Amino acid sequence: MKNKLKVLRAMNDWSQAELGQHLDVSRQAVNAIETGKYDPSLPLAFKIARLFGMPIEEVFDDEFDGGNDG
Amino acid sequence: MYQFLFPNGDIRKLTASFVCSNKKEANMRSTTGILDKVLILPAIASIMMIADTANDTASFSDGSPALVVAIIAATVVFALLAIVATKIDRRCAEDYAYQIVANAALIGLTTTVLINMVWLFALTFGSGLPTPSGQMMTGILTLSWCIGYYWYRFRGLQS
Repeated sequence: MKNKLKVLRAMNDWSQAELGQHLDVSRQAVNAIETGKYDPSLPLAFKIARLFGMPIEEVFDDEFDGGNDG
Repeated sequence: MYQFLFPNGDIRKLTASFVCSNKKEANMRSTTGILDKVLILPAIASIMMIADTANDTASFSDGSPALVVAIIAATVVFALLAIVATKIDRRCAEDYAYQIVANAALIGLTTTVLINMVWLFALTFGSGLPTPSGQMMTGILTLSWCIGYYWYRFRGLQS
């Protein structure tokens, strides 16, 4: 799942550790989400969306193409 | 595009969509509905393995089921304790760490079962290997769990 976390973090001029503090997770967890190594749980995804004041689907892209696979 | 060589010599090409389409994947995906039924088999097999090994011990060669019952009861008790401990662990650990540890545990379990199977198979055919000890199996389980942890830690949970 793709996400805009790195961009949003940069816009707020936060380090990964600072963002981690806001979300109550480790710097490693923030790094793993940004690099696509880990898809956050639903509560954490909502927390991220709320922190940046955006709808969850604007932060995360599940790359779903609408199911037109013939 | 994948190429498959069939036993009769035919080479057939299959597109990647064969394995990648969401619908097909969904059909092949194991669900709890399937696992509910399938996991009964290893549960029965495990009880039979415990019973078989327990009856091999000299002091219980009379076929007394006491040891078997004791081992199974202890397994149930310790499993329940582990469930409680895991619940605390899940609350204390962040989701990312917990997911890595849980996925790594699955690697550890699978590796241990596979090594045990191969080992017992080799023993059957007189390979000269020593009988695997509990300590050795615990070592294999822990090592494969650690390998799984570091794999998911550095390669990601989707790897």
